[in-house]
Amino acid sequence: MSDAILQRIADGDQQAVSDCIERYSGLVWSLSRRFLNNDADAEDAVQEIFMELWSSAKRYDPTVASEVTFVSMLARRRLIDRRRRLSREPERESIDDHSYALSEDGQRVLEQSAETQRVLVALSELKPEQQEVISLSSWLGMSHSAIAEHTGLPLGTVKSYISRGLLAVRESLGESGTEPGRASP
Amino acid sequence: MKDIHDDILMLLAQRATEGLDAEDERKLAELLDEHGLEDTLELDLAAAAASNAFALREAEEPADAPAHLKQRLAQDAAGFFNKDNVVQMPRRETAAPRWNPGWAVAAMLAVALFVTTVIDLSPTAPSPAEQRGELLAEASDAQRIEWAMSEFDEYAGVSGDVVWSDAEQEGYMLLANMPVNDPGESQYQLWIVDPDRDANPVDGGVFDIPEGGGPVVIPIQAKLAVDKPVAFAITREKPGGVVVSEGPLLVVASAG
Repeated sequence: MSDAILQRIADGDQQAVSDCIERYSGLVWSLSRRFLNNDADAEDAVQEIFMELWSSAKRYDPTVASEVTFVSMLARRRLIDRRRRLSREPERESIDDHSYALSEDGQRVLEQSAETQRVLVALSELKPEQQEVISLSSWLGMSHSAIAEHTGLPLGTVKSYISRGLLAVRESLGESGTEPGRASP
Repeated sequence: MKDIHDDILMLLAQRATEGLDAEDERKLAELLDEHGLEDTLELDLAAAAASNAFALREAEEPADAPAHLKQRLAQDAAGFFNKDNVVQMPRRETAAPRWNPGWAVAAMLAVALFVTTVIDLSPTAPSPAEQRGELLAEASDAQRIEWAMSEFDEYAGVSGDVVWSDAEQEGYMLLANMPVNDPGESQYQLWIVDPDRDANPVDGGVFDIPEGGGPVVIPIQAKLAVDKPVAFAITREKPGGVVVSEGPLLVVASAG
């Protein structure tokens, strides 16, 4: 399977569509289940996300972020919108269940991503409680108020940890690399 | 973005992690405009990258996407590149097939064959879904607005969005879970609300939702020029549509 799948889709490469499903369906499926906490809703969401992904293939810029980050961002935006419509907060107990773990495909894609490795390093340099807040927010999809309640931190601190933490993460994006989907320097 | 106003930073971070309501979306747009800043989605990308990193660090037992879902995605892909006017995706079945390794292997082989043989990417007229993608990619003023949850039970499950560009006078509806209509009895009609132009909404065209359909992409056929639409609404009318609708507004997308 070759790299830069979205660019290939934008260029009209027929094989890229099945490659896209093969490479990212696991990641998007895991993300959808985690955000929506319901398999039926998650399946509908995955179909919508891929539709959006193919529509947006031309918008992907490999100099800004890796392809897997772009796919994940697009999926998250769609899922956040969908969850706001459903007014549904993910249940922490359900999220902790192993059935919401990352898919095998998704794990492989992320392991191959140099950008993800850089972000892990950037996150590890944050204070442990800030790491926890960002994890609860970005990975588990909890609302800021739910995080404040869960951690006992003031809401303002939670918001500040998240915004400053994301700025730190952003600094590790857009660096040169040779991973899938990123342009060579 | 290092000197960014704290309010903007907080709103961008909130949007990236839990979303914004219409009022905050409007406030963010005003602040960005006030400071002459472009919305680059950088914190959305950062939140996605953080999510990926934690997913890798915290994940325990791998679980793949269901084979029947991958099969539907392959069918969606075929529909996406189809040049027909309406792109349909198969609806989720209520009873999903049980996991069976033999069946799954056969299904995946069938999917691979289906994708490589059915999808025709030869240079033909682009499908509405492709045109929607082009519009999003190329029209700098293209806006995407989600359908709000309908107050009518039959339409409460409808989701998707409207993509519209004032500059191009072009737009598309993505509709999922929209109830099927019988064109002989009634048709759906889109209305575009543009109060700067006229108190009456602009006719956005008549369309149908066929049997057995999942999500569809439908081109908007605005009958008059539209400047700054604040909302899009769908009504159900007699076949052929009406000049002035008496409603009700079944599904609505408001631009904040």
